[in-house]
Amino acid sequence: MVLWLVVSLSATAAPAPSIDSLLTALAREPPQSIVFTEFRSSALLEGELIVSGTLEYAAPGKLSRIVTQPYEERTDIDGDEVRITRADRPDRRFSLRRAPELRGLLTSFSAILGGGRAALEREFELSLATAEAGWQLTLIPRSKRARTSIGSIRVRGADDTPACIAIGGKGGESTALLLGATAGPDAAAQRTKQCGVLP
Amino acid sequence: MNPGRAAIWLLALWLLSLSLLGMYVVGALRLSGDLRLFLPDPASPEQKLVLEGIGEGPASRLLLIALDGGAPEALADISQKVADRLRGSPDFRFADNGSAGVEAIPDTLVSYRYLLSPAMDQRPLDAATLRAALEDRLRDLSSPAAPLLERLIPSDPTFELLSLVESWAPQRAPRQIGGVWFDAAGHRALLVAQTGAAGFDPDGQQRALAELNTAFEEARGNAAIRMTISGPGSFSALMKERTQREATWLGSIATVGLLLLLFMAYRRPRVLLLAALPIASAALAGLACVGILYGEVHGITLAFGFTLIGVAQDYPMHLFSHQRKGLEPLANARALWPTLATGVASTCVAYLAFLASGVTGLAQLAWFTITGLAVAGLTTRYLLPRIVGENFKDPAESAFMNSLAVRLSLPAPSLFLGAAVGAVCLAVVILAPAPFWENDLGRLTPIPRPLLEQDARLRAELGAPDARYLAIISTGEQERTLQVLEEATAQLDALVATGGIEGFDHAARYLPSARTQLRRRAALPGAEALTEALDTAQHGLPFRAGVFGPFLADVARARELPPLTLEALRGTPLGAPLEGLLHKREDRYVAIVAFSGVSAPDQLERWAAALGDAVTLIDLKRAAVGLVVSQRERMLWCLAAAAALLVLVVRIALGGWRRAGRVLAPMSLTTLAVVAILRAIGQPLDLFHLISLVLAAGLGLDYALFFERAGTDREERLRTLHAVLVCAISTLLVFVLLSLSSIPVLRSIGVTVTLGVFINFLFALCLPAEAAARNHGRH
Repeated sequence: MVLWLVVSLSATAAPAPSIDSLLTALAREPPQSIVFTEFRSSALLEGELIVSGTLEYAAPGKLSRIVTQPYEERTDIDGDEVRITRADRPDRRFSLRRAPELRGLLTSFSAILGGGRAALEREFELSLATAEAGWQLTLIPRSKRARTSIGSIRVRGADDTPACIAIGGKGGESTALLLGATAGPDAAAQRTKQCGVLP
Repeated sequence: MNPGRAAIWLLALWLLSLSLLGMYVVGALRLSGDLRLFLPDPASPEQKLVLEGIGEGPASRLLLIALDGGAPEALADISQKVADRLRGSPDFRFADNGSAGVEAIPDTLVSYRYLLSPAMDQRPLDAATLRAALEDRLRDLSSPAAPLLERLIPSDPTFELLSLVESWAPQRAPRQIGGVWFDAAGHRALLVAQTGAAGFDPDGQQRALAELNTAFEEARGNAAIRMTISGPGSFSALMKERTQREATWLGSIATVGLLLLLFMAYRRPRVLLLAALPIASAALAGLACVGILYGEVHGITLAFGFTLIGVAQDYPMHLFSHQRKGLEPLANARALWPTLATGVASTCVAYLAFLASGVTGLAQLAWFTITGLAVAGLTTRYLLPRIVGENFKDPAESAFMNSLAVRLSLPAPSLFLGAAVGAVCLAVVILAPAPFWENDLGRLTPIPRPLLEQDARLRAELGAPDARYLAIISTGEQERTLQVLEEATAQLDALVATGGIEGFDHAARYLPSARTQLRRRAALPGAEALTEALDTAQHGLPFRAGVFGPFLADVARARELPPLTLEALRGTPLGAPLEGLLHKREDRYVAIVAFSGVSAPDQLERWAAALGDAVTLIDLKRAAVGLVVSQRERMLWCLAAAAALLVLVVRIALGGWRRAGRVLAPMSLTTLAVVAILRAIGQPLDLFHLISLVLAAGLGLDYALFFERAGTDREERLRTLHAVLVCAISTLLVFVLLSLSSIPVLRSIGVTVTLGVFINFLFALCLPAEAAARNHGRH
């Protein structure tokens, strides 16, 4: 298993001033795999739901999200098909088109790991902010429909390592994906540190 | 003398009345494609169900559609657009590509989920059920599907609507890509659509196919994507089109040949028009008669009818061939009339037998042919002579005809030779090993093998209903019918489990009986109990207070709902597919159980037998064969009666059995010989052969009558030979071409008539010689 966070191939650890050089630095050959902790809020709920597990990126367009805590669940995205498997229940299948948030995540994931700026710019407007703490790449969907349903995608990281993907619109970010962090007592603190909005 | 002013007026008047008649026919006559017009009236209730089943069953209305040749996303897009358009089309009952989700359920029906969902039988809405559901919903909210599901949760925390929609999906649904059905390989997007028109209605099917093609072309735009359509409707439309195209093509060649022949025979351009007048009058008058009596005419009546009135094409030829300078055309017609009238009358009287058949299509055929032949005969006698002019070349003076007559003079056959030929033919008819009758109607318009294989593949991928087996449940009332369906479901589930069938579909899957709905309604908790259960279930879970208000309201509403009925569903997206499975017919509700992937029909039979009288299992293939057999039996009785009537008329007209026998012998021997030849080449006989034999016999009778009339008079014989030659060659021209057709129906007709005409001509040729020989002997 290659933890693309841990294994840093980039010898030139200079600050990343441009989107191009950032994307070049982030590019990785699939398969890649990384642990994550996800924070998700909903209008129906008080507080946030926290799950953790592993993201496996097998090939462009092929992503699996394997939840191990606090229960087991597996989501496989293959092309346009999404399948959610839970132990005691029949599979739930749906089209990626009906899940714009997931689609945004997959597209950004594939494009970032593939270093494909063109692919990324087809669907998103990109903007980059850098600060002492690292960089922040903001992706705003070009399609109005996707913009209303998911708002924007914000990727934060330092050097050639992304640390957090936050998704949300005007009402606030509903999802924060903390990368490389397993669920634990310090998860909330890590989130504050790694996912905060760079000015 | 050429026709004068009066003749031109008469011609103009004739043409005018033909066009008026034509306008009436076009305006008043509907063309029907309902095969049942040609089937006997059902004798038993079961036969009635079979007739309804043929073409009415959901399988026969189903079109299977595959899209390929593009990226899956593009195919899914087009599939969606096509399905949306078909759903809004009056030519389609429904279209499904797997995309229909909970959005497809109209708001008015949403509250009914608690009465319709089978899941309600397994788990009451109590605290334990709700707790399990809420825990599941929490996981849903942190899964990638959360944005899809979030808005459903407040009103439907148990996801009853989703489980309802899932229970409606085919038991073996295809895989999905982009939210729509695809084949297992993921290369072809799949759709099914049910046409409004029945499978046996080629015109309705053609309309639906045209609509489908438009929908596809619009959705496709410029993309290089292909659409494949399969299913009984598309086959019947394809075969109809193919048959028509080939018939038109062959007909055009034949027409050109016919015109050339007529010109060569009579050297008068106006003959080309005049020769067409009686037959055109016959066709239009026949159509008008059927129009007045029935208002519609079946496509098969037309095809058979035009074949049968082909005899009338010969009538003017006799007039033309006997016309010569110095002979008043009216006197010519008067002289020919007794013979011509005998031919017309005997054929017409024979067709009267068809009126008694009790089969609407055959009665139509009889009226069409009788009217047509009578009109052709009368116009040849009374109208044609007034405009034909007398200036024709006498064939008796033609050197060519004289030398031909010598070459064609056959030795007089002895009675013994005739009997010997008859005996040999009879022996062949009886002893030939080939099956006598063709019982499989499908073989007449066979569907090309690749199409059938493709159909089977699509059917398997889509789990589409079997085209052969279906069960019909008819108990009268809607409620009772639904209850029987519900009771049958457990055994059907068992059949699916043992692999006897892959799946089944019936109305109660969508619309439970009122009894079941009321039972589920009674099991719903009251407002207080439900609130309490929900509070208990929510304890310790992070749901906000009051989030489930819409759920409480929906359950309260469901407790007040009257049971849903078929009538209430009419006009909803659920109503149309349901109507294919349950409909009212003459105050009785009839439900259809469709099966897919039937591998053990005997298990189905046992299942139906166990349910008693309420259920009739129909094997459409066996039923169709049975219908063909009983239809043919009637037809044969009709033909036997027709033959008897014909003999009687000829006997009366000719004034003695001896003369009648001489005229009837060649025709009877020919019919026997043609059947013998067909049997010898291993050709089982079908209805089209029978009709063709009747036509050939009619033609042969005319040949014999005219040769018999000519007797030993050399000049008359030459004129008759000329007329009969023109008749026979023109008929052969058409039917030899038909016998070259690639379509078995056309080939059946072509081969039979060709053989019949040729042999009839040969045998009729012996007649005058025989008469002459006998006369010589008498001197």
